[in-house]
Amino acid sequence: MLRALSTAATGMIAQQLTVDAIANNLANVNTAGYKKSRTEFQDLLYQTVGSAGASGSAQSKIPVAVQIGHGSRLTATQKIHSQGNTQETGNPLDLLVEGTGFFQVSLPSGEIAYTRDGTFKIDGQGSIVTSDGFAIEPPVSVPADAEAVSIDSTGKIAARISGTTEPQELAQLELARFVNPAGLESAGRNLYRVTSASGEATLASPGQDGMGSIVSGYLEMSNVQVVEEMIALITAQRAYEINSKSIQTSEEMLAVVNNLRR
Amino acid sequence: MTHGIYAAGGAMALLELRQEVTANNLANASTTGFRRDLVAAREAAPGESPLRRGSLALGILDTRAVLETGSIRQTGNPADLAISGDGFFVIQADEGSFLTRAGGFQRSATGEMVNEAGERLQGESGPIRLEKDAFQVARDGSVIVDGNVVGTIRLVSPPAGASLRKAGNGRFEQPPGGAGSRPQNGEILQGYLEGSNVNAIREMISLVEAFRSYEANAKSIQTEDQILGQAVNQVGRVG
Repeated sequence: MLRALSTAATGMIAQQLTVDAIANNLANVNTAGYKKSRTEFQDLLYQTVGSAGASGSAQSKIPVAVQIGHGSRLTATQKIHSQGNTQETGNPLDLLVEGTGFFQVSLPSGEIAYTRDGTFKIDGQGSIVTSDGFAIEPPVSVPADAEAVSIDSTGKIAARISGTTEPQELAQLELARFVNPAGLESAGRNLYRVTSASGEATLASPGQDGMGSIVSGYLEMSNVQVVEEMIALITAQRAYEINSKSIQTSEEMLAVVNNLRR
Repeated sequence: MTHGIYAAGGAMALLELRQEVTANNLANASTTGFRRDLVAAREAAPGESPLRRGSLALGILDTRAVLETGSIRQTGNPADLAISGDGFFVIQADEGSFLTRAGGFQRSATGEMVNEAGERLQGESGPIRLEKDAFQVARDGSVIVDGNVVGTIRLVSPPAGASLRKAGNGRFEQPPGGAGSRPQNGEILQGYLEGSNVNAIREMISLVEAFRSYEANAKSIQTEDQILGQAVNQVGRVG
């Protein structure tokens, strides 16, 4: 049967996965710290059908064989770690990293995850936690009688204890950065896990070593550009359509063959 | 007597092959750096042995990657590189080095510039290695970190007329005569990606054309069959 049928199917599957990725980007257009993903394609293996002119006359020099490809495949959904849009919130525990660093979060399993989502809160025990209740790493505990918590650009967390006038330093935030942030594994809930592709985390205080400084009272929103996604959506839909035309034509060709003998 | 049936059958088998190549071009309409294939076919000259599928002779065939530049789009990702003009990147895979136009690179955990398959981008002197994630690539391929040139991305342009064999995954095999020299008019654009050079209109026309020729050849087989049928059943019948 025609190889074209399965070749076109690989094209349709690839485009469908692109639409899935675009849908996820658009669904997260207002997610704090979300990084858009991009699909990457490659062509599949080529089959060499025959070497034309290999035994031909001395004058005919056709050096190329007949190579037939088998379609395309999705090779990667790459996260693009460009800076997202900034939104002012006025809440001192909303933190924005202006640079490449990630916040560290300790999961209940003891594992460390990384995030750009700076929507931190104080839980019942006085710990600074994410919206999911995971504690920030290194842990910060805010005394029950603290009045105003403030975080400066170098990540120093201070609070004014009730009855005193001078703010008291509570802890120092630490950020993590990676050689290849695109290699981090998305774990959902705005969290990333370290992989061998991302390389081990390098830790430092904000403002040092290219980490980027902390801005309190602001949030980093997603870096999804709606117009860009819409264009990608149109392109993917049309590419999907045109691959279906390959299938239709192949199918009609088979119908012609079936009608050769009446 | 039945020669016409074989000729038409061969033409149909050839058109199927063309259709497969078109399907592959269309399937790769969104593949970074993909180059469309073109099938050239001609009759076998006396003494030449044509490509066969079973008993059907398809003629002398040649698929050739068309090296026109694809559409270049801005991505803003500093590790995305596109070549404006001629030339190919050289990447080092486990099984040897290949040429490619697919410029979606990233910095690996060891600091090297690699593509999605982990194949290393080659510079004029060894793989490109970045000590920091902030870097600039100048149009001439110089890689600049903190104001210092740390390497130059190697660009090669195979000799004109050299035919390139595809190796899958966006790669071309190095031509037998060597990879060639640095192209005169090849520049590197940072933050851009080159798409596929597949043109949907051209491929649709090719689909329609192949399909109609296929139908026409099927008709000629049917006609030949009718003629044979008449010869067998009617000629020589008495009364």
